[in-house]
Amino acid sequence: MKLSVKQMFSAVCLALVPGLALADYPEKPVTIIVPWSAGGATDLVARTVEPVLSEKLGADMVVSNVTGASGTIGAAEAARAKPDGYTIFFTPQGPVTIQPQLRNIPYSLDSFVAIGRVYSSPYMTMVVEDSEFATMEDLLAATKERPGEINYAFTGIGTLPHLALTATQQHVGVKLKQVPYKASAEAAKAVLGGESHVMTEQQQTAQQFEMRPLACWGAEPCSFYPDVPLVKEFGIESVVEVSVGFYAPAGTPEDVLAKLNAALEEAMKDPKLVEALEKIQISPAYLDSMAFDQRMRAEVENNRSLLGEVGLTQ
Amino acid sequence: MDNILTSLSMIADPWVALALIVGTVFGVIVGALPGLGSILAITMVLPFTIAMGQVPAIALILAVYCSSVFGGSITAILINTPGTPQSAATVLDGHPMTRAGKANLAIGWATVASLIGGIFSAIVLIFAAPKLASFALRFGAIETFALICLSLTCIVSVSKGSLLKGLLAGVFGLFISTIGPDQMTGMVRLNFDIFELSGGFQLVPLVVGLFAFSEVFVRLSERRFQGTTPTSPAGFRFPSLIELARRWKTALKGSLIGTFVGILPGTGAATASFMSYAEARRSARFKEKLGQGEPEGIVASETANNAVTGGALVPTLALGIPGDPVTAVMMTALIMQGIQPGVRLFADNPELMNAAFMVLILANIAMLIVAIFVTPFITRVLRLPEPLLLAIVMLLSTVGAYSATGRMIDVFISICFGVLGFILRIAAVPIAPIVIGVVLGPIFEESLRQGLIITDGHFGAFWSMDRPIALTLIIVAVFMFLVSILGELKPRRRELGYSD
Repeated sequence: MKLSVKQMFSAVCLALVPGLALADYPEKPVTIIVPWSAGGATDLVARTVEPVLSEKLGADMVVSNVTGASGTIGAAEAARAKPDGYTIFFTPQGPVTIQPQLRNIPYSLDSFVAIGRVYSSPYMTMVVEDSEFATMEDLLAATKERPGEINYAFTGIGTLPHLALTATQQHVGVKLKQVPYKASAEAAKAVLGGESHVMTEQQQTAQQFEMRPLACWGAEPCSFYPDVPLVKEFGIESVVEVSVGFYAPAGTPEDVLAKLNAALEEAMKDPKLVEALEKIQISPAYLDSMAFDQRMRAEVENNRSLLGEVGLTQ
Repeated sequence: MDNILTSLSMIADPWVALALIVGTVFGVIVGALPGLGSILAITMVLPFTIAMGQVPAIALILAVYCSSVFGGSITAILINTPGTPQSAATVLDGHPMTRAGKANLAIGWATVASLIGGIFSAIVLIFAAPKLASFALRFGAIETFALICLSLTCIVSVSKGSLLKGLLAGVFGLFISTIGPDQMTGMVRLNFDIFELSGGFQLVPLVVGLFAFSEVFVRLSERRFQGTTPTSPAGFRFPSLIELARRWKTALKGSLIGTFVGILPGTGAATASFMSYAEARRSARFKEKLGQGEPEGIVASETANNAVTGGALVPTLALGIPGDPVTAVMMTALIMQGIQPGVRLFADNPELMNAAFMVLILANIAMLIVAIFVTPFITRVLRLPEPLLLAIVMLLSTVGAYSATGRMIDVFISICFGVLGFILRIAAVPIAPIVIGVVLGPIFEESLRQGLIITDGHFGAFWSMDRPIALTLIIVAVFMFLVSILGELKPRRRELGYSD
């Protein structure tokens, strides 16, 4: 068959049309970039949310793990993706609110638009069951009196536990002895084995390893441990909670965002998803696009001042 | 006794049998494909376990775990490319056996060795898990540092030919491992301002490049496209019992080393198989022939890497602390089943634990059965015309390198390491030490620096009497280092005409 010039022109026009035909979104599978490895905590939540979200959005979804460098490699990939709604990003806040302040990274929080938060969990400062520190006061007093003798296990510079340590350090006015470990399970092992004395981790860690929580870093009391005092009762004015949610690359069209936002909101109301999340010990804490965005912007500011005071911002 | 009967009734379920068989076939295949590997294999079956009962789910996951570790050895033997980094030491004797036309026998040895290692560690897990778990807790940063020093001595043993070249390759591997983020400070090192390098080099693309791509390049350069090595009969051949009995010491040592290394979080199966291989070089019955296609080398490597499976489950199940990414994914699967690994698991749920242990043993037996029936099909790849075989290897390796992080750049990195591996092979520089350096580098650095923080910078405190475990390991490391150096130098002197 020979194509006339007219036919060819129409074909070219048709090929250019998808840019205009966004009203039909979604018409092909949506990729969810997860910046941590398959099987990790974040990945697990992503894979639990994915089938329900996919049902509500009416498109197939694929979880793609793009890993490395504290989540920044995946975040950069997501920031660089075409803003057409076919690539979205699922992450805890570290790669978007902390990492860009520490070093030169080709994106910032402004490279993304928030879709919504899926869950949140406050951090807790915890010790072993038979620890010499009965309360948070004991721990803070001992830290002040015996500088360099208490080993604080944490998961490395620029992580949320590191923010908690920085805030503690500012509060007591003494340099803490900070021992970094690769993962929270390894920090827990060090504390259980007596190599380190205290750690700050998400509340599930206290449950899992039967540790004794001393203080909760949430804005509200920790759900699993409502009786444990908040750090602000000891005069520490920081809130450290993990906030995990979906983002889209900046520049994604409004109508596409509206569809994504609505799909996530519906998914988070679905009892099927709530039950599935609870099974993996995650308490859902949905925030819509607006509220999530505000929360993350506020965090960027707080982190900047906290990290700036210890000289870590670039 | 009631416990045991209850557990038996839990595993007497057709779904368990099905899960074991399907899981094993799947694990062997994924393990054998270069670059895919245990983590990916388990993650892929994870969604299926949600809909299954507890015991079938455990069966599926354990079967995939054990068989994927074994699967890596098949490609190591057949095409000189370890399917997973855990099998890198199997290449050393496995592939020479294929070149000598004994691929079917080499696979038989690898299978039997994997079975021995797997069952041995399962038995240790059953009888001593809680006790060994408390030992693992006493093993802190300084002890880990001492163990890594000991592990590094295996570089000497796997440096075929030139000790100097081997040591340089090992140091090169250590240097490569310093590229990327510094765990302690978050600083990114040696990335030359290329953002893509700020995550460092991943192990899988590197191993795929150094082994698989370089193998393809070597074969291309040899231009032997017709009727090459594969004179091997396809199939599966058991080693004779007598031959096996003559190598029992290495099998036992490999199983012990694998179980021990598995119990200690953070080291992993690749380290274990190299350590076991190094020990074989030092003490095995046929140590002179190691590296030239001696089954004892396969026995050393494969008993150790499969013994890691049971060992690694000790801290995972008894403490809730996964020792490596593979067991971390497994733990996730258990939590999804409503089983919380940790100190209480053994006390609260003995029936389930017993059932899990029986399933682990059955998974090892399933591995043997599947190997007998499945490997004859896989060994047929050797009958393929070489251009086709190389094309398949290229394709699978590319997929493997990509799937590690999901970035195209890893494919390029992998090809670059392929070229590097090709050049190194021509220069007769051994490749295995690079892998050892890359595997051990990060934990070597991390444990050293953690230790220095804990001791306030006193390196001397690393070998004090307060830390008997660390002190012992350091002494053994020094001893092993001297013995292996002397062992390497001796034949050289003889070659040069000196007499002892």
